[in-house]
Amino acid sequence: VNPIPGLEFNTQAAAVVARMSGEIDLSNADELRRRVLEAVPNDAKGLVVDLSAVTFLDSAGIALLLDIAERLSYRLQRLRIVVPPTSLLRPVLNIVGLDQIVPLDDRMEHALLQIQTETGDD
Amino acid sequence: VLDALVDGAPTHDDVALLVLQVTPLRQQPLRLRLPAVPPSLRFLRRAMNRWLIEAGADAEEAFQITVAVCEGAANVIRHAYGPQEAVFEVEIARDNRDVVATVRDSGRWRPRQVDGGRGITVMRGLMAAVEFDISSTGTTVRMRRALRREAVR
Repeated sequence: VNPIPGLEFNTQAAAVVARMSGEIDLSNADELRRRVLEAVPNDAKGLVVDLSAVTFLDSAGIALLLDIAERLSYRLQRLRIVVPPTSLLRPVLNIVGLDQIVPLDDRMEHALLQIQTETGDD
Repeated sequence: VLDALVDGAPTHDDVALLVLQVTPLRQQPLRLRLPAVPPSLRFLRRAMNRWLIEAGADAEEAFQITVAVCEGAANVIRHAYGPQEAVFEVEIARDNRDVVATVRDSGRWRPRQVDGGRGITVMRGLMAAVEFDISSTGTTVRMRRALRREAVR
């Protein structure tokens, strides 16, 4: 049985941070999608998905990220994804044009700052 | 060469240079037959990554070829339903500079029906060539990509 990859949440500046780790594929993408969406309350300004510790991600993982982006956009919540520039995941995300749909950040601080700036102080 | 080695300095004895070339054994293709269920993907990734690194792929090449082949395998798994237990076969081999990968099953899925074509986009983006062969006996995906390093002979 495939272990569910690591998934930890915390809240920073009214944004939920979901830190994933391990391998994301067909065997666990649905479960991850459900758990992430459950963890974002309606009053959160946005969600930052941190893929820094993810070691594998295929099109099932990309579909997961796009689904989350769509759901959050209905609720007018921001989504940003943290992927270090040296991550092996980057070229895969760019091939499907994910970077055109969801902003990718090199660092967590930048992602949080962007959400704060775009959503104002309230 | 000898001058460079002894730095032109006078020597008290004869100097000989022995040159050896290391020629590893040609790597055998990787052949796997796996049940068409999601946990097989993890096993496939482990086996492929090990084989690709042994074949001379760097970490990025091994990762990208593994992702591409796993997309092919994931398509097979997504489509594999029915009363019989489905299996699929993966073969990875060297063809001079190229790595050639084949994913074969006995189902008749239409690539674009399975995931809106995103898996195909990933395969085509990561490999130099991707071909589908859909026949009455099954579906075969063939992919190839050259490695930066020469093949071992």
